[in-house]
Amino acid sequence: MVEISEKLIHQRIQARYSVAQAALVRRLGNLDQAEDAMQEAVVKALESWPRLGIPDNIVAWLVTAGMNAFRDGYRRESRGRELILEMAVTERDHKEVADDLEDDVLRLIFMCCHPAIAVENQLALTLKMVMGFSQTEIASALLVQERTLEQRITRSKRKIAATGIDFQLPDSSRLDVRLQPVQQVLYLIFNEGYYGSSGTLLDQALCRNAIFLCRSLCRLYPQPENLGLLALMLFQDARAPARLDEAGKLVTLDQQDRSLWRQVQIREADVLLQKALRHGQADRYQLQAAIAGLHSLARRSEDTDWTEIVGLYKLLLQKQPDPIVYLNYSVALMFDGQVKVSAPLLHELEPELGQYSPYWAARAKLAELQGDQENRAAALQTALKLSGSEEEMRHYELQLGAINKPRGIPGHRIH
Amino acid sequence: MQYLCLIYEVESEMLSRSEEEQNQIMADYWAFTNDVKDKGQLVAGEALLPTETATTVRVRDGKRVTTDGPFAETKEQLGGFYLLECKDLDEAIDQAARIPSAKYGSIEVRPVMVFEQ
Repeated sequence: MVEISEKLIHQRIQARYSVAQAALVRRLGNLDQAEDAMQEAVVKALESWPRLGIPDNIVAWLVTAGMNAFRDGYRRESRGRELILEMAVTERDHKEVADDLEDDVLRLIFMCCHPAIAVENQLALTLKMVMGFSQTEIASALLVQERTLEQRITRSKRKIAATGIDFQLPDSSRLDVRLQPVQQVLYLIFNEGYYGSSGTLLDQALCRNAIFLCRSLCRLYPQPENLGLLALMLFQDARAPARLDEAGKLVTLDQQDRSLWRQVQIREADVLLQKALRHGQADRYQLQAAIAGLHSLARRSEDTDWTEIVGLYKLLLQKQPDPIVYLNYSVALMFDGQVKVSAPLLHELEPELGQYSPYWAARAKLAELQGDQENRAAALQTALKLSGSEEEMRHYELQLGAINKPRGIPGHRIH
Repeated sequence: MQYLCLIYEVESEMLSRSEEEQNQIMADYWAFTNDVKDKGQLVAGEALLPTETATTVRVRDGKRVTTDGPFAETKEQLGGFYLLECKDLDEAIDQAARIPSAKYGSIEVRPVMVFEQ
């Protein structure tokens, strides 16, 4: 018999966490109580599953354990029968109304990502309440202190309870307004996992969760914006097996072994993207997905259609005129052979991105293409000095060491 | 649930509007008020005279202190309010966005505290 380790239990719970947690929120009608109940259920699972085995229906087991823990809590506090009676009614309603547990997960996401909650708090709440990450994990992913994070979560939960943000799917008349922050939060969580540090278990879990929830979102709301977002995540994630070498070091896009890319996932993303684009009016997620798609569909690095990518960045700049997009645009221009167009653009970005390491990597690339070895070395030194990640530093050092051997797509935050 | 929509605008801008503009805004307010009334959402709603008419009162150590002027000097001033009965925060925010001053100033939406009997 396979030994049931604590790690395995955590993995299995993590996969069904959002569904069980949403079911508890529906029954208890309150984020705080539902979260406590879920925590108790997880503790019970860790105690009993190694002896009894992992149950077939993990969600039902967790919800029952959570509800029992909640009832016990009330009995201990002996706060009266009315509450328990009231709860029995909600439970009956639950059976009649919500056959689909996954819709409840979406209700929970909409609750956590309500536009009345600040974006950084939506992010923290979603990671905690929907995805079940611990406070320590969230704090390290978002680079905030645990205490600050706890305050944010507590404050937001209080606001939700007090202001009448309901456990409901949004009215169709305000679907756009309500979907937008959900898309943004899932996008941010995915990026955090994808670009965060690199390849840690936490990062992988962030990406996996974002994809899972985006899929749920698309099932009920197949709006082009949602399909485009899912396509973007799938295109990027399909390259995951090639992003790290055997020593766990980051491999840039042009150096990756493309035979390791998950082709089925790339095809799925492509179908989703085509479906989304059929509606005309590409939004920023669809444009980013289209760019990621062009990278994914190129058999070899040198087959990349940089002219098309440059065109897409131009469109993206109209929707999202931020310095990072400008940086990526100017890098794409270089690869498209338009060094003369790229150079002044890159120089203009210096006041805004002068403290950003990938910016100097792009400047090094520019100097390299201009045959200016002196400035190339200087730019690489600056990039190295500003870099926070070991992978990046190693990458710059390598280039500095072999300054006559050009390689890599610096500055381009596509791995 | 009841929500108080507090209407804030830059008073100086409000007072310097042309008569035509003012009439238009008044007409928009009438339309909005009638709409929330028809929907059964209106609990109360009033416009206030400018902050130059405000008096701030405090009682300290049993002694009454009155100050000539508003409680706080801010960029935008409280100019009126609606108390609305809404299904949830989404509905309250929708209505707040339709208050004519939302285009010029800001509307703060606050749920009304309910005391258990």
